[in-house]
Amino acid sequence: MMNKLLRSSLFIFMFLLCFFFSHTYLLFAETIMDSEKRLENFAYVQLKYNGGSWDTNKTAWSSMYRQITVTTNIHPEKAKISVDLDGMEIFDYPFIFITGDLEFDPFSEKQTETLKRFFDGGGICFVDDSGGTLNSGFDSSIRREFKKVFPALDFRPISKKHAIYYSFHMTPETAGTRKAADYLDGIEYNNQTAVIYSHNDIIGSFVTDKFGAAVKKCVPGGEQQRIEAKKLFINILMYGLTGTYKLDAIHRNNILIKMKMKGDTEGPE
Amino acid sequence: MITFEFTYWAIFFLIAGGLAGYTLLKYGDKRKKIIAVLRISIYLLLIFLLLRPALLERRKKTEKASVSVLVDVSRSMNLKSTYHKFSRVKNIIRKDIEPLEKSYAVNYYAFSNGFSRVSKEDLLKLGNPSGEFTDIGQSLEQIGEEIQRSSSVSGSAVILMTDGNHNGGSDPVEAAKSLNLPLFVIGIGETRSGFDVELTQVLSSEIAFRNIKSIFKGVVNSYNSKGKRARVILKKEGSFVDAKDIVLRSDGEETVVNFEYMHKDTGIIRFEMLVETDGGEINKANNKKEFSVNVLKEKTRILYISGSPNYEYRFLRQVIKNNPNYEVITFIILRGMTDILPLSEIDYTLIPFPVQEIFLKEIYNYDIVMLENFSYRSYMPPEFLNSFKNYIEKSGGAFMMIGGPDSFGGGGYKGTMVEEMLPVNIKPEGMEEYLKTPFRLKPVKHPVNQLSEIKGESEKIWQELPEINGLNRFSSQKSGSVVLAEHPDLKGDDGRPLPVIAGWQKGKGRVLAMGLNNTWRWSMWLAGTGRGNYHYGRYWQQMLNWLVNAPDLRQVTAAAERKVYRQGEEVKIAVTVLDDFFHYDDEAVVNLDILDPNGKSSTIRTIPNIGNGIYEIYLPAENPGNYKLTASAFKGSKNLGMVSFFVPVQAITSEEYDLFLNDKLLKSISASSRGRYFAGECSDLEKLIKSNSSESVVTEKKPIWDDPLYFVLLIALLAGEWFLRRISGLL
Repeated sequence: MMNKLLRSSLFIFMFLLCFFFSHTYLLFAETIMDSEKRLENFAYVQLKYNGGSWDTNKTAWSSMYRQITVTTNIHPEKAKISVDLDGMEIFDYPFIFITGDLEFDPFSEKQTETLKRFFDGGGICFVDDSGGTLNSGFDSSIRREFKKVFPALDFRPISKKHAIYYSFHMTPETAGTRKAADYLDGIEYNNQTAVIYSHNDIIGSFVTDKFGAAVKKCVPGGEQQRIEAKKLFINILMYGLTGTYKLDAIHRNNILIKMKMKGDTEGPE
Repeated sequence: MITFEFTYWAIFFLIAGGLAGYTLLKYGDKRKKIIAVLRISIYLLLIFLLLRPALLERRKKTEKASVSVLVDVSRSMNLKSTYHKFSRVKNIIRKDIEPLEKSYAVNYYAFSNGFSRVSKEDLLKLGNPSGEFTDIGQSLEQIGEEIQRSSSVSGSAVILMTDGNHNGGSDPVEAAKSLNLPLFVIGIGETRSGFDVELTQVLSSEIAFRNIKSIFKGVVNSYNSKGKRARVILKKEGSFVDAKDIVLRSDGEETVVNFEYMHKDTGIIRFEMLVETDGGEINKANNKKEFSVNVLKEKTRILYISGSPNYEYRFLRQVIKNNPNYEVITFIILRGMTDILPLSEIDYTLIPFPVQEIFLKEIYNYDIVMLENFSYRSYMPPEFLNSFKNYIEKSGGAFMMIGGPDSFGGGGYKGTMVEEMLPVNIKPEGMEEYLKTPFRLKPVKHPVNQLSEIKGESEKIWQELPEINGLNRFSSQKSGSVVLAEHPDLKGDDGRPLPVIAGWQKGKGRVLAMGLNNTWRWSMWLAGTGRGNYHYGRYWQQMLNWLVNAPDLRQVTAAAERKVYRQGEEVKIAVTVLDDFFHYDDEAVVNLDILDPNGKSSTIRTIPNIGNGIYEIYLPAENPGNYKLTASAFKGSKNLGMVSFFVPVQAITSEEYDLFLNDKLLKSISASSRGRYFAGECSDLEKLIKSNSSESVVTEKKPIWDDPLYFVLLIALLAGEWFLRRISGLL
């Protein structure tokens, strides 16, 4: 009886000890993560929201990461990050992604205010409709929520002369896995295009299986469309990190020369 | 003719009274009838008075046209050649203007610095005119307004008496044109009889920009000078700049000389233009003019080189772009040496990084050069960095290195000229630590760290800023540098708190070292707390302003009340002092060093404070020329700053040396208004002035109901009626 009691006590003690250490480790690990946040680097940060599906194209990031590191001088954080609108963490990341293909729940008043403050601070947001269609449930939710954030502003098509189309690749096509719209929508706020909205599932063009093969077909343009989608993604990323840098006179003149060589007549703004 | 008011109701009472009277007369005895008559008379008289009768009188009236006489009372009218100019004016008033008073309403006006209506007697009593300027244009504009205002009187003509020594701002010929009245100009004084050259005016913009050419245009008028030569000289702060030889033109004709000058220094710069001849001039005092130009910095040009696309760049660029006084050229290394370009070159908007051009040539065209997380090693040899020494120390350029793994030691700058320029000692590559542990930045008291004017608010905002990570750990600060922010816990190699942001004056330029690359977090975080991102922008603006030594960040400023003073006047100087937190400081000790135009120096200690951070003093301007004043302020042993400025003191004005009559100008003025010019005297003015006098019928209304006679009559009637009733026993 005594032995049984002793054994039970020992078991409970060991259990509690294990629980304590594991918890402490987790806390410690989190602290290490926090202190090593390389905030000067770009991070792929997705916004979590209630309802719908915020984490579409789950496996796209590794392919995106490869594309960014191989072709550009951007040094992204390797880990994919998600933030919500309930805390202050969103203010550590001035470039966030909102993805989805379904209608989602309305933001609370506090969440709307947080998103507004994010843009007040200079944040930029890229919205990608993973459904690749116009007037989807996701689209109506996005328009509803951004109307709450910017009551006086509307989404407007971004001109092809915008810095986004010149920030790294020369005038990529507006495409993703779909070509629902040949334009990007945008909201101008705080002297920048604070919200960039694609209807074409751009991020979907990066989704690969574990052998590296593209999962989503690009319709109707096939692989050429995928290349254009990836080019546009890099340009959007560059815009998020450098703003309208490519519209400075010294760069614009060079762009115009290259455009002439390509036979294009129009140039950046 | 008699008129009445309140007609309708008065008629009603009249009829009622008549009916009452009729009844009384019909039914009473004789005495009663007399009483009734008296009562009716009283009643009728009252009705009459209530009607307020008035007499209308119509008569013819002649309204005199006005003649305005404008008399120059400037100092030059006090000069005497063969006659005293102002005495001549008085004679003309008595002899030729006074007779006009019979037919015209003659109004007299005096003009010089100002313009005012005066009486004839005042003008005749005035002994020595002493006005400092002659602004004929402005006085003609004002007389035009005066005539328009008094629209009941029609103007017929304006008579102007002056020597034409116009030195005001408004164009007199244009003003005469818009007067719409004939202008009779009586020129007072004598025309030039010998050889004379006059630098009539110097046309230049009051404001110019550094590194941009200004054009100074000198207008030379010459008299009895045909075929003669002269040299026009431009001087800056008393030193020769340029000279041009000219052939003088015939009498009174203008010769225009243009000088181009590229400004290299900022501030108020004094220039002098003078004309030299071979001699023989009857008047040399009119050969020279002094003028000043306020040379401002052109737009602050910033060269920003970033080692990779990153948020620090985007946020900082936005701050710079939002300020219209900045012009930024940026280069970002978008693609590293090892990155792959899978597409053709033409599909990228990339351009080659023009290293040689930027670092060896173009660098001097920028006010601020910023290197942010940029390692030079892949792009150029370290020798290219040697140009930073000349750029900073000799050209006065500003330089800032912003942190990141590829900055300072991590960028290979140890042992290069850039390290020599930096205000901190850096660790060699491999030894340098790029710390990732978050910490809260500790700012020191300095204007660049001041985030609000409200006392205590700035400290509060700093407390609210988030912890930051990513720190280039410096060895130590260099002697002579100023630490702007430090690490709260870590120490440098010298045992002092680890400097995070430090700056210094290096030769003519300024240098800042910022061991951080994540200040953008302040923008985001402050917005997250509901404060918006104003303070982030303000912090960086102040940082950039400090780099270029912008006046906004000076704690001591000083100025004279006026731009120019005359010899003998008192110069009012106000020095404004701000404390470290940019609040008005009334407890500083302010001294003023004076260097007079003769090179004699003196110091006034402890200028009195008049409140609001202002220290005020009056100085006598004894000598003509430029006074150089240097105000410095101290609080305890701390020097709050100093500022130098010039106060120009003029010896004489053209009012004192120009004896001659500018008949050319006066003829143009009279011609433009379809008037006539008279030299020194005039005759037949009355005949020439076309009368605008008008005759009109005036109706005047004279009330008669308020005459006391009616009151007396009313009392008499009432008394008579009472008396009759009494003797009749009716009371």
